[in-house]
Amino acid sequence: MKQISIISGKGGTGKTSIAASFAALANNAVFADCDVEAADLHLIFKPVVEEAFEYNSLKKVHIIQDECIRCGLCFNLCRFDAIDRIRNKYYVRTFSCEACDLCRKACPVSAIEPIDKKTGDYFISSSRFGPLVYGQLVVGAEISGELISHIKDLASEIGNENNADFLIIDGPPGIGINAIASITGSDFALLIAEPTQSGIHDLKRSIKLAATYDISVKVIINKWDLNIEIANQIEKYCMSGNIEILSKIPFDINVSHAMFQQKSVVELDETSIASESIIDAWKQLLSSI
Amino acid sequence: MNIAIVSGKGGAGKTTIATNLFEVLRTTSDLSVELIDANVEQPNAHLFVESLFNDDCITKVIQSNIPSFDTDKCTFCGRCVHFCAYNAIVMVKEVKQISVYEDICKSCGACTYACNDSAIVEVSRIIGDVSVSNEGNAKFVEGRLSIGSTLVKPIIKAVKREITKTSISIIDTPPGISSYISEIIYDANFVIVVAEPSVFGLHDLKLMIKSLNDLRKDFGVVVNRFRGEYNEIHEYLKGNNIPLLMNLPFKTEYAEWNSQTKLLVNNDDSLNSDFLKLFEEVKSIYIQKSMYR
Repeated sequence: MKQISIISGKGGTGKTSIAASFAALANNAVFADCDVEAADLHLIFKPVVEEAFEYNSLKKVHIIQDECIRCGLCFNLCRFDAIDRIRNKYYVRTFSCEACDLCRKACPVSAIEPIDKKTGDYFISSSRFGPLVYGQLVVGAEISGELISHIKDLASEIGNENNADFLIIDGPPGIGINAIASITGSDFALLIAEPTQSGIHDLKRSIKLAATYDISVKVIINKWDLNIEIANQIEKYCMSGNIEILSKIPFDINVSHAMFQQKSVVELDETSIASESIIDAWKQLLSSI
Repeated sequence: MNIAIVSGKGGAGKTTIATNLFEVLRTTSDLSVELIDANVEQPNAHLFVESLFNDDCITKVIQSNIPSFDTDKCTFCGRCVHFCAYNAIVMVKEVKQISVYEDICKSCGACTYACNDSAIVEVSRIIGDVSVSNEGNAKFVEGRLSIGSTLVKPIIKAVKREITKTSISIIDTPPGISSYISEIIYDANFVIVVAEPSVFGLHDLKLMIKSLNDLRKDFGVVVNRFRGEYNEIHEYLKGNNIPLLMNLPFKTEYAEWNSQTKLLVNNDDSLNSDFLKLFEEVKSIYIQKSMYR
């Protein structure tokens, strides 16, 4: 089973639209939505949830005021500025807490206890395209990459059971732990770039990130004709680094229309100019692996 | 006054709103204005404003510690392994080996605290930088995560330390709804949510609004790339009594200027008053709400 991780440095370049279209084109694939902060793929898949799981990351802590002797050890030990001192009382600022658990282990009177609060949900589901595993982080929760690893592992397990040819991952924007967790173990990262200065800037950082983790990269330039000059710059940059460009997808209002109707672009109209380029990209992808 | 610009979905137009609002305030008022780029994974605001600042920008390197083990002193007791909540330390007692996974270590210092044998020395590594430029009453701050580093929050905190309390600070943020956003907007006086008028946009907007309500923040919404064909966001805002601050229409020339990092307000004069109105709107909601606190 080939594992393809669709990511982009910059947000909003079209990862999900392209992932959904590949889903419609692939015959025997499983899917994972690893953009756990804005999981949107299920809006197009409209899947039936078969199993739901709660995700609990490392436990953050809180201070039991009745037992606290106000020694201030936790305040002094915490390197995340997550403990506030207000009128000689100590409180944990939950969203700053990184769940390192040092204060709890160090507290001389055991006045600190873990908080039991889920940090995300994830689901195994089935759809017209095949199985989809997706998840959603609880708002304000800590990013650890672990939720993404769970989602990927589950999808990969299902893929192996079904003898799937592909595991297609819809990844997050950025170059942080979520992006790293999405691309590791993939046969290649498919980067969706847009022809803007911001797009080039972010693409370069993502390519470097993939290189750091020894993951090979292929590129699609989406909405390429919005700025042909910058699209050419992207092509040149990729050529100089021996990076294959699978396809250039033109701007096409049908992409928006498809989204409104919660369909993939190729399902809405196979013959639209965007669809043709996406189909072309998929064929190119099949022949390159 | 701190105004954070956020959106659950990427590519909704946070940087567009942040940079243009900054430019309008910079050129039409004598307020001290700051543009703060806290999207440290992919900072883009500089592409739009760097020409406004001459090149004497001050860059501070941000470092973070990781443990280094002195295997002569180490007794391989395993206390550090037990204290590390992230399972970042690997020890094989039989062959007297101990090491740390740098990617996983968050520099909490638990291992150093746990060690009874002074066998851990912390060494620093670079995780990113923060740069600051000044020009007249304007200031630009950018945080930048080193590629391969995962310690986003320390960079965000370092960026926050550069915010001047007496200025109008416009803060560009990473996409998403995680604790990174909570960390940034905790000190914000007002939050502008940028939403894209699409099914995805509405889905992600609802999550963002939940997070803002959890933190009891005052906020309003800017709908970007509005074409008039998808009205569900407007209906949602109306139904929930959420202020709609501005509709920025979709225009091909806006997309083109954006792609070339040209500020919209410097190319379409009519937008100057729109962005000023946006600021007035933010101010008046903020003042109104403050009176009830």
